[in-house]
Amino acid sequence: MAAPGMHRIVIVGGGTAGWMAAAALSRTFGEAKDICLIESDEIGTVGVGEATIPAIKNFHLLLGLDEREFLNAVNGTFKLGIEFDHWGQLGDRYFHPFGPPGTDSWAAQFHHYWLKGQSIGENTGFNDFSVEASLARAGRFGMEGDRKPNYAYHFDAGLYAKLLRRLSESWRVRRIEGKVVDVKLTTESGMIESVRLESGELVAGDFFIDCTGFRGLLIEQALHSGWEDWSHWLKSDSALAVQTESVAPPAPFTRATARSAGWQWKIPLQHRVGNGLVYCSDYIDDDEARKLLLDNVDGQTITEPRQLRFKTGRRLMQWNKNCLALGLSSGFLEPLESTSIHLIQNSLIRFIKLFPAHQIEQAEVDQFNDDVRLEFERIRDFIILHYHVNQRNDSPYWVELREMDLPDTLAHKIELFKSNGRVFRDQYELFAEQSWVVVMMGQGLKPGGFHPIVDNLSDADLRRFLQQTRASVDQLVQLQPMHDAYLRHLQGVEGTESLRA
Amino acid sequence: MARHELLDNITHKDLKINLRYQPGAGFDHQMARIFPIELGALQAEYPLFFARNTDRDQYDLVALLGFESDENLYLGQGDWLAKSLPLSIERQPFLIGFEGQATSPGSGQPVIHVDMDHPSISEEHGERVFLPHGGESVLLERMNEVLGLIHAGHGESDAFSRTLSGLDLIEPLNLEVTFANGEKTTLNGLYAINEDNLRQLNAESLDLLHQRGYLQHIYMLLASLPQLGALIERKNQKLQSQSE
Ligand SMILES: Cc1cc2nc3c(=O)[nH]c(=O)nc-3n(C[C@H](O)[C@H](O)[C@H](O)COP(=O)(O)OP(=O)(O)OC[C@H]3O[C@@H](n4cnc5c(N)ncnc54)[C@H](O)[C@@H]3O)c2cc1C
Repeated sequence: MAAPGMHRIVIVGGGTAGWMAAAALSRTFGEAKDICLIESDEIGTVGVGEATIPAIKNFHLLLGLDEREFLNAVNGTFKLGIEFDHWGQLGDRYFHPFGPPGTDSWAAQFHHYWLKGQSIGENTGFNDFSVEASLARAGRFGMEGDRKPNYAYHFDAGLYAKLLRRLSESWRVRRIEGKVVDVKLTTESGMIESVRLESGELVAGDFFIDCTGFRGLLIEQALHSGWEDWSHWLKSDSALAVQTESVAPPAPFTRATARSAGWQWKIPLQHRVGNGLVYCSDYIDDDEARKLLLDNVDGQTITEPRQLRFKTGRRLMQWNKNCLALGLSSGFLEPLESTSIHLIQNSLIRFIKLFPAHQIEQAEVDQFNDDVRLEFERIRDFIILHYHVNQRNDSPYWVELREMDLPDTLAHKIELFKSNGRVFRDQYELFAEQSWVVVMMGQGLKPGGFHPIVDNLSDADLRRFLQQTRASVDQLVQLQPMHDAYLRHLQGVEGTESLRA
Repeated sequence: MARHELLDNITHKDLKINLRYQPGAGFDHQMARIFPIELGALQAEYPLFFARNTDRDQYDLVALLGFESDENLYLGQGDWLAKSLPLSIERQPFLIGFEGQATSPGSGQPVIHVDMDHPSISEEHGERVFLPHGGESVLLERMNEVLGLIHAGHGESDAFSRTLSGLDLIEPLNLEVTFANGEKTTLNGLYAINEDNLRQLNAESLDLLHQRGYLQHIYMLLASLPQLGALIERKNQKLQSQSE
């Protein structure tokens, strides 16, 4: 059956994905579409996604959301990147910043110059050339000077959903409280015709967006779109999340600490800290995991540790017939690089661009599914990289990860880098070259050589270049206020004069 | 509030340091930060632990000196009641600053600052910091050495505690202590070696700890634990002398 007009859009699920979809669609189409969102108070949301990457600012631009208003509504803080502890080897620490190192752009990527510098005895750390990493280490954040930092946010997921709901409702999204108990398909085309609520009410639509979380009520349970399992590469299957009181001013970065059979996150908000342990239940049981987490948090806990289970993998058809899966219903990659909310955003934007005019064109659907598959796979590879490149021998977990077979795409990338420090980003890749470089080097993978163009510089010129770059980073860092002072300033508590720490 | 000044032989030409290890003279702290190279010397006289440094998100090594936030049971009537002195006590009233207000510890040149509000600061009594013609006194030479050790110790300490926490070898301690007079107190915020996990380490991990010299440090920390009993005894004597 053709889908005439595609006028009625039904979103099922009111977690982060559901409300992001409602806000973006209602903002884009205004009253041209009839949009409703069904959520069940009985079924909770996952709601632990609280760290983001810089592209989220584009999403807010689309919504016309002012940064100050947003941060104040969600108790948000700024995020300059992620600090990784113990990943390559016990005791190691490196920072994955949201911006390229160096302040100038050069023919070859900055790390080639840095590598050559190391070979002639310049021993400044790679991160000392990164504005974002240096700001993070100094606990500073601000917008002074020409080179603005690249950044994202940490926020309270519950408050974020509330904010998006308020916006969506102001743009005429209808919210229906109720539990979907049945999905009705048309007999001839197998498209979704309507969903039935526990109350008996039928909600009919032209297009359905499945934001029901891991269960995939529409995309899987009704449409059987298939699942590709990735747990042989990404072994984590459980998480414990707990919130604690802040005992120090919020750091402008996320921390990811590797543990004996998983890793721990720390996400500082204005008023509290989100902590969690992502682990593999084959290697550590829930009680041990709980103790491990609670032994390693600062401040009083505010909540009981919350247990979550998940499977890593991807929905084979994220768009199937007249149904799009967004969020956890579309697949899951652990939050090591805070990419889930970004994937929601990207699929949403991609979908809006391809929004069917009158009827669904299979070629467009195939294109969409192909694009998101590639994007998902590249992020998957990037996350596997963190686990695989390690020299840890303290637990069988890390040894097995080092010895596992890799996806071909990833094995190829690692080989390229090992020989001469080369990194190429393909079209669908979210993480830029520099991200691969900092993670590979941060975890102990040092390339054998560097780009010959670097030899055009004399040693003395190279030294001068490195020193100047470093000095300009230092200078910029000192111009910025402390992160918490900047946040207070945004809240309107303090004037700018008192900002300089 | 501390008033830190960059030390120089003109502004501070008459500066004298009059150290008195007694209550009210600038040493009323329950803990002293210590560094890995001191572990051997200190373990025989102080109970040694980790404490969370939440500003830097690290575990620092500390010597426990008392049971209340301003109690230091190693203070006598002017003398320090132990043979060895933690570097972080010995350095006072001096400290390390960084020239050019570096953005991070480690960059910039370390330079000596002095806390002009420290009770040991004097122009009349005590030891001179600069010789009459501006040269460095023995005291200042020693301070240079102490501050240098502390400067190097920061990095060593972080590397040590980070490695241990990566191996889940650091666990929070909740200790209830009872004194001779029946009074009780709980010690919060201290962390100790998780001995169960230490016993379960595999050969590779032990080897790594050994190669980095950390096994030695761990044994020193464990060896210091009986000093907690000795510290309680100091407290008992203080309580007794107060009640007499
Ligand atoms: C441990 C962990 C940490 C994470 N950390 C991050 C992070 O730092 N950054 C990041 O970007 N992402 C992170 N994520 C991912 C992020 O949490 C999710 O992408 C995000 O919460 C979206 O979830 P969702 O809306 O798809 O599903 P859910 O939150 O599960 O919402 C499902 C919704 O569907 C509704 N529903 C379900 N069934 C029915 C029914 N039958 N009838 C009616 N309604 C129904 C529920 O009521 C609910 O409203 C993390 C995930 C996990 C598991």
